[in-house]
Amino acid sequence: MEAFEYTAPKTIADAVAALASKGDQARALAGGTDLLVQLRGGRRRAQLVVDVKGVPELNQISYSARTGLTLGAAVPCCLVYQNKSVASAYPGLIDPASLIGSIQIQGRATIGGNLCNSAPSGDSIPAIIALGGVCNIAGSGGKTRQVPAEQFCTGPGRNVLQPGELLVSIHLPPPAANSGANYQRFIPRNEMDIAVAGVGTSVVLDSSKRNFVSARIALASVAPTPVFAKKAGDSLAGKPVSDAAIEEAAKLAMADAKPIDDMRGTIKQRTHLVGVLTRRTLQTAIKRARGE
Amino acid sequence: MTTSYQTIGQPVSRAEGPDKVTGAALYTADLNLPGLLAGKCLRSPYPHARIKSIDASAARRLPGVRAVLTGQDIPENLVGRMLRDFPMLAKDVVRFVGQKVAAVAADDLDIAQHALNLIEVDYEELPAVFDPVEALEAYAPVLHPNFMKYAGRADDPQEHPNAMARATWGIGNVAEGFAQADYIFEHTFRTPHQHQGYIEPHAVIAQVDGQGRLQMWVNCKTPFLLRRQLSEGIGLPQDRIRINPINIGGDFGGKGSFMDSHVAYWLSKATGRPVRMVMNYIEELMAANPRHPAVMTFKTGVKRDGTITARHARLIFDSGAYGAFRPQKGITYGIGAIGPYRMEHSQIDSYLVYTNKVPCGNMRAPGAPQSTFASECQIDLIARELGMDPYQFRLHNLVRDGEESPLGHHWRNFMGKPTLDAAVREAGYQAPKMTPPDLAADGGDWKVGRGIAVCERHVGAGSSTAKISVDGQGQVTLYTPLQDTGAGFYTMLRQVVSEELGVPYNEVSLVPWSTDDARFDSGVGGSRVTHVGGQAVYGAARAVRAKLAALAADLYGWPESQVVFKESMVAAAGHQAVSLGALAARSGGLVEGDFTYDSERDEDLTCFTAQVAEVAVDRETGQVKVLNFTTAQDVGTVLNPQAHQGQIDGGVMQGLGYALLEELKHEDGRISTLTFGEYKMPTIADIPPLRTVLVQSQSGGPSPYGGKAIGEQPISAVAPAIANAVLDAVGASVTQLPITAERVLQALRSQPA
Amino acid sequence: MKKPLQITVNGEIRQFFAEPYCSLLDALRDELLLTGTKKGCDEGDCGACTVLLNGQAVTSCLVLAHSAHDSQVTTVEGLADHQKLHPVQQAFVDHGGLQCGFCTPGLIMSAVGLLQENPNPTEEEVRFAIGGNLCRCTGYNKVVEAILAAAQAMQNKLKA
Repeated sequence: MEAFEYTAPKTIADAVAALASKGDQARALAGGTDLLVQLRGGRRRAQLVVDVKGVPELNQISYSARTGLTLGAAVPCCLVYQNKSVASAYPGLIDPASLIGSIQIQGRATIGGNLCNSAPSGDSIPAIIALGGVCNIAGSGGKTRQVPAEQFCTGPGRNVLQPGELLVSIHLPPPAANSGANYQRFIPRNEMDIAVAGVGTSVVLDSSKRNFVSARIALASVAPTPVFAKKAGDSLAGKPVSDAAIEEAAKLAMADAKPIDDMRGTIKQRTHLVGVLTRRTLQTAIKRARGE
Repeated sequence: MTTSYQTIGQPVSRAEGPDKVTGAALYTADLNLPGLLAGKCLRSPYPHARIKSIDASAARRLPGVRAVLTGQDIPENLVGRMLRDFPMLAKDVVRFVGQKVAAVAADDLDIAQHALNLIEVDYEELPAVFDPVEALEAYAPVLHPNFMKYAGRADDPQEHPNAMARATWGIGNVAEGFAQADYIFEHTFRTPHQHQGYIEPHAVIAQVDGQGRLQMWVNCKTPFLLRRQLSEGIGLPQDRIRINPINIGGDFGGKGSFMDSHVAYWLSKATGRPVRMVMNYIEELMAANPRHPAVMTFKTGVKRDGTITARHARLIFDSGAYGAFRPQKGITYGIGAIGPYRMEHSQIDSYLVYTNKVPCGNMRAPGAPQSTFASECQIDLIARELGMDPYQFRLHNLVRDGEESPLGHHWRNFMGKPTLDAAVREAGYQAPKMTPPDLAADGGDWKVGRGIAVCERHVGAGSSTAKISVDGQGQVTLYTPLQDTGAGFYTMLRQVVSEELGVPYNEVSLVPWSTDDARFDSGVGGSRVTHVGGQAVYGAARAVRAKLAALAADLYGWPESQVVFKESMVAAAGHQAVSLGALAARSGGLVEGDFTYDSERDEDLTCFTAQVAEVAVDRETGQVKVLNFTTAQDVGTVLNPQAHQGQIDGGVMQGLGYALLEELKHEDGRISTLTFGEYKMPTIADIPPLRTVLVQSQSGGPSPYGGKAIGEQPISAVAPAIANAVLDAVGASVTQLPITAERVLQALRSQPA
Repeated sequence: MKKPLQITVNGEIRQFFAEPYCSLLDALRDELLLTGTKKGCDEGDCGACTVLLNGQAVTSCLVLAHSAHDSQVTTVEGLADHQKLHPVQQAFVDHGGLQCGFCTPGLIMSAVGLLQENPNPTEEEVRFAIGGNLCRCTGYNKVVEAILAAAQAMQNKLKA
C-alpha cells in the first residue's frame, strides 16, 4: 500500500482541520471498507487518512417522530438495523443497511461512508434520496451547510465535499402518515454482491390509501451517479394507485437511467431491471404505506 | 460388500484437524526465515506487445531494494510443466496482460511494490487475438513463431500456427452414421474461464543455501514434477533442489503449476537471501492458471425413435498465451465429450489454441465440465425436439453394462442406468412442480423446472511411494511424498495403516516427505490419490505387517498366516497377545516397510454421475434460483464417508458457480473481474439443499478395499443439469456459461412466439 | 514511519510499532507473528482474515492497525484453552467443517462471534453469520452442521 499518515481526531474541529491541512490529499475514514481497498489498489491516493470514528457527532443516531432521524456519518450499518425505532420508522432505510456486505462489513461500513464513497452502485444512496435525506456538512471555521442527498454525488467516486469538508450526519424527515418506502437491487448472487441495478422508492398515500399524494424514486448502478428520477416520482402525485400509474412511473424511471455496458451488466439489461425494480419497489412501498 | 473393516468406511474426522482449527497449521506465506525478503513482479499491461526497452535504474536505486531482475538478467530458458513455451520473465515479447516482465526483491512488500512502480518499460503494441475460433483463422496473428522448436510439444504436425495441439478420437465413420439419421442437430456452446478459487493464493519461498543448493517451500501439489521444471529453467541438477513439505490451502487443480518458483530462485540467488513471493488475489485472477474456456460444436444424428446414430464434437479449447501450465503432452481434454451413449459412429476433434489471454491450466476434471455442458445440453434440446422426455431419451441411448462405450471401451460393471434411476427417484423428477411460497410472494414471475445431466469419468493412475515404521513404543509413523491439499487423504491414508496394523488411525503419525526423501511421486490430482497413494500405503502396511508376522513366528512360533493385528496388539489364536510396540522392540530397532505403486489408467473402468437440478426462473428478470440439487454417484467402497461427502459437497458447489456465476470477463484482453466482488463464487446463500445418493458398484475400483474415485466426479454435470432445468422451466435454451439472468432473458426473447 | 500502538490480543496486552497504513491483518501476521489469521483476498471479500474486534467479527484486512489501538482483538490462536479446543473448533473437526483449512480460522471466528451474541442461533442465523466467508472446499454444508453442533454443545455445557 502507498504510505499515508493516520490521525484519529476527537472533535469535528480537529477533524476538519486535519482534512484541511492536506487538501485533496486527505481522506476521511469511517468504516474503511471501501477506502482501504481503494488505497491498497491505487484507485485513490491519500497522504493523510483521518479516522473520524472517534468524533461524537458522527456517532449519533437519534430519532423522534417529530424531528426525524439524525444519523451520524460514522454509525455502522448494523447499529442502524439493530435500532428498533429506526427500523420501524424507516424500513426503506433498513433494506439497504441490512444488505450491504457481510456481517463483518456491516459492523464497520457506514451509510455516511457509502454516500461519501459516491459509487453509482452504493445501495443506501437511492434509499436516502427516496426518503428525502439531507446531508449535514461541516467545514473549517465552524461553517456548516446542508445538501439534499440527490445533489451530493457528482460523479463516480466524486461528491460535493470540498477539501477540508466533512460529512457529519444525514437527516431524514419524519415519515409522513400513510407513507412507505422500499429499496431493492438485482444481483447475480443471492447475497453479498454489487447491484447490477437498484431502485429506492418512497410513496405517500392519502388517508383513503387509494391515491398517491407524492412519491420519490431513485436509482443505483445505472449512471455515473445515483439518479434521482424526479419525473417518475412526480408522475404518481395525485393519481389513484393502479398498475397503469406504476407502469408509467417505471417507464419514466427507465428513461432517466443512463447505464453503461460493463462487467456487471449491459445497458439493455440494466434499463430493463430499472423498470422491473421500480414496479416492485413501488408495490412494496405501497404495501408498507397501507400497513399490509 | 460383505467384508467388514475396523476403520475403513468409518466417517472418522480429520487427524490433522486440530492443527487447522487452532491456526497452528503452517502454510507457505506463514513461514518466516531469517533475512527473508519480499519478492514481487512487474506485469505487462498489454495483451501483445514487443518490449523495446526496460529502465530499472530508479528501482535499483530505491533504498531497501536488494535486487531487480529483467529478462536480460536470467537465462533465456523456456519452462513448462510439459510444453516448454513460457519465459520465466518476458524478454522480447509479452503475450498476455499480467505476464511477468521484471522482478524485485526488497526488504518489505511496500518497498518492492514501490520499486515496481519505478520501472519503466517501453512497449510497442502488436496485433492481438482473443477469440480461440478467430485464432485459427488465416489472418490471425501468429503468437509463437518458434513453436516447432519448443520442447515438450506434441509430436504431430501443427495444423495452424496457433494450434498447439490437436487430438481425434472416435469409432466408426460419422458420415455414415449421419446418413442413417432421420434428423441431424447441430449446436454450438461456449464456456468461460473458471478460476479454481482456492482461498490461499500461490506462494513460494526460495532460499539458495551456502552450498548453492535450492531450498523451496511452495504450495505446489506436484513437488517432484516442479523440481524437474525448476531444474530445466534454472540449470541446477534436480538433486540440488529440495522442495519441502507444507500445507496447501486449496488446490482444485490449480496448485500444480510453478507460478513464481523460478523467479523466486533467481531473486534469492541474486540477493543471497531467502525470498518470499505471494501472489495477491488480483494477480491470481489476472495471471494464474484458470480452467480453459471452450467453444464446442456438437452435431448429432438421431432416428425418429430417438436412437443416436452418430455424434461429432468439435472442441476448441482456449489455452491463452502459453501451454506451459498443462501437465500432459498434446491434448487430453474432451475425451468424454460424446457422453455415455450407445452409438456406432463417433468422432471428437479437440484443439488447443493460443490466444492473447491468461494461460490456462487444470481445474477439477479438466476438460470435462466444458464438454459435458455442451453434450448434455444438446441431449435435452434433441429430446425436446423429438417430443421425448429427456430422462426417457437418455435411458433409450445410455450404454448398458456389457455394451461398448462410444469410444470403444468395455466398461466393467457400468453403473449408468442404476445411477440415473437413483438420481431421478431421489429428486422426485416426475413429481408436480410447485413454486415455493416465498418466491411466489416476492413479485417475480417464477416458473419451476427440472433438468438432468450425466457424465462418467475415469479413476486416476500414477506412481507413489510410502514408508511405514513401527518403533519399540508401538508408535506407527507413515511417510508420504503426497502434499495435503485439503481433500482429506492424510486422514484416509492413516485409516489404511490403521486397518492393516490394528492401531487407532489418529495415533498414526504422518510425516510428509520432501523431494529428497523419495524417488518420485506423481503428486496430487486427477482422481489419483485414493487409488495410487492408497495402494502405496496399503503396500507399505502389508510389508510391515508381513515383517512383524514373520518376527512373531520367529520369536513365538506362531503360524505366520494366523497372526492378527488388533487394538494395538498382535495376536494369534491360542497364544498370549503382545503389544505392537513390544513385538517391534524385539526386532532390535524400527520395523519398516515401504512400497512403490505404479499404475496406468484403466480405460475399461469408469465412475458414473447422474444429477438433477430443480430451479425456479423469474421470467421478468431472468434470474435463476436453484431450489434443490440431487447427485447420484456410482461408488466402490467408500474409505471415509465424511471426506467423501466433503468432496461431493465441494464439487457440486464449484459446479454451481460454473453454471450460474463464475467468469473471468475480458475487455480487449484485460480481465475486468479482478476481485471476489466481481469474480463471483458461491457464498453460502447460493447453496441449495443437496441430496446425495451413493450407488454401490459391485466390482468396486482399484483403490485399496475396492474404492473408486470421487474428487472430480461431482462437478461436470452440474451446469448442464441447471441449464436443462431452465429449459424445462421457461423454454429458454442458454448455450453459454454462466447462465446469467441476462442470457436467460435473451433466450426468452428469442423464443418463437 | 512506524508508530507505537497497543492492542490487547487474546487477552494479552501487546505494545508494538506499525506503519500508519498497516492493516490489522498485517500487524497480526507480520508484527505479532500470529499467522493463524489468513490473508486471502485482502479486500474484505473472502473473510479468511476475520477476527473479533471488541467482540465483533471484522475482516482484519479492512481495519487499520492504529484504528484498533486500545482495543480487544481475539484471533483463532486465542480460542483453545491450552490443549482443549474451543467447542466451535472441536465441532469443525468432528463434523468435517474444514478441508484445506485456509478459510477455517475466519469461519471459526465468524461462528464464535455469532455464538457470543446469540448462543442459540437458528440455521438461518448461522447461514447469515458466515455469509461473508468464502470456502471453496466444503460447499458450506458441513460448516453449518459444525456451528449448530457447537452451539448445542455449548448449551449442554451451560445446563450441566
